[in-house]
Amino acid sequence: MRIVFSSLVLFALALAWPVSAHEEFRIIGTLTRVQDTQIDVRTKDSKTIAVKLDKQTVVTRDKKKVAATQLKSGQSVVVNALGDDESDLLALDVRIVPAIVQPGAK
Amino acid sequence: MAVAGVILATVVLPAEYGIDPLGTGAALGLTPLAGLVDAPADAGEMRKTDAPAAPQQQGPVGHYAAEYRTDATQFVLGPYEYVEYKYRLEQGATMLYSWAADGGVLHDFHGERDGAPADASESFDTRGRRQDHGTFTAPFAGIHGWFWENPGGETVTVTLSSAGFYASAVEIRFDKTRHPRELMPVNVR
Repeated sequence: MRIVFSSLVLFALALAWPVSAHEEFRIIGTLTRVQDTQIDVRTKDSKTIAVKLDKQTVVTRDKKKVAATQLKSGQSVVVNALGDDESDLLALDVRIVPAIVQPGAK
Repeated sequence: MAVAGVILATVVLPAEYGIDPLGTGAALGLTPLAGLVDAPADAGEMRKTDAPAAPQQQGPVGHYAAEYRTDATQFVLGPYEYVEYKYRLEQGATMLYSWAADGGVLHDFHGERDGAPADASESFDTRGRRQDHGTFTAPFAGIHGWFWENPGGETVTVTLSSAGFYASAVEIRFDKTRHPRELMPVNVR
């Protein structure tokens, strides 16, 4: 009986799994804060988005992998991250790119 | 076991799969959640009752129950931004298109089957190009269109024109905002 019950619970959990599937987000902007496990990125519409880093996060510059310690405030970055929404993101990769000049900016 | 069965029948199946054997999903407002998971949201939001159906083939001629529609639009892609733009087409329905970008873009012409997970797309063409002109016959019912990404630091504009037996389109920006577009039959004044 207990096995049947456990199987049903596991089955129900397996069915529910896709509900928590994460979406991929792209965050483009300027680093405003860099910590060991999180970066803050200010986007062109002046939103600041916090993105977590972990050991799997890949940091690149000029298509070459670099250490996460290369991330500095003020750099322009392109971040691909997974999460349910912009308030809960984990970075898959962080690309350090040349300074982004927005149209109309001087 | 009974509790698990009740939860399965009253909550999980209606919310996850739209299967509502006891009517509790409708009563609790859970059944719409199934659409968010199993069917691509853009396919659902674009499914219209007046959508052109699949063609009836008569030799080389395909006959449709509704008029074809046209579309012309532009996408301005800031540095490293991307956009997806897709039309809803039934299996066998056709369209013709031209698009051009004023800078380098990464592109993926692809489709998503009705009912398939949103990340299960099928690519038709990913060759690097700045423009393309072509015809397309949908190999399956679903949403079909382009992903364009600006890989560089300069703004790029993509211009698209098309005509076909579709009813609507959806634009999905890199910030995850979705902009459905209703497209009018060519002879509606």
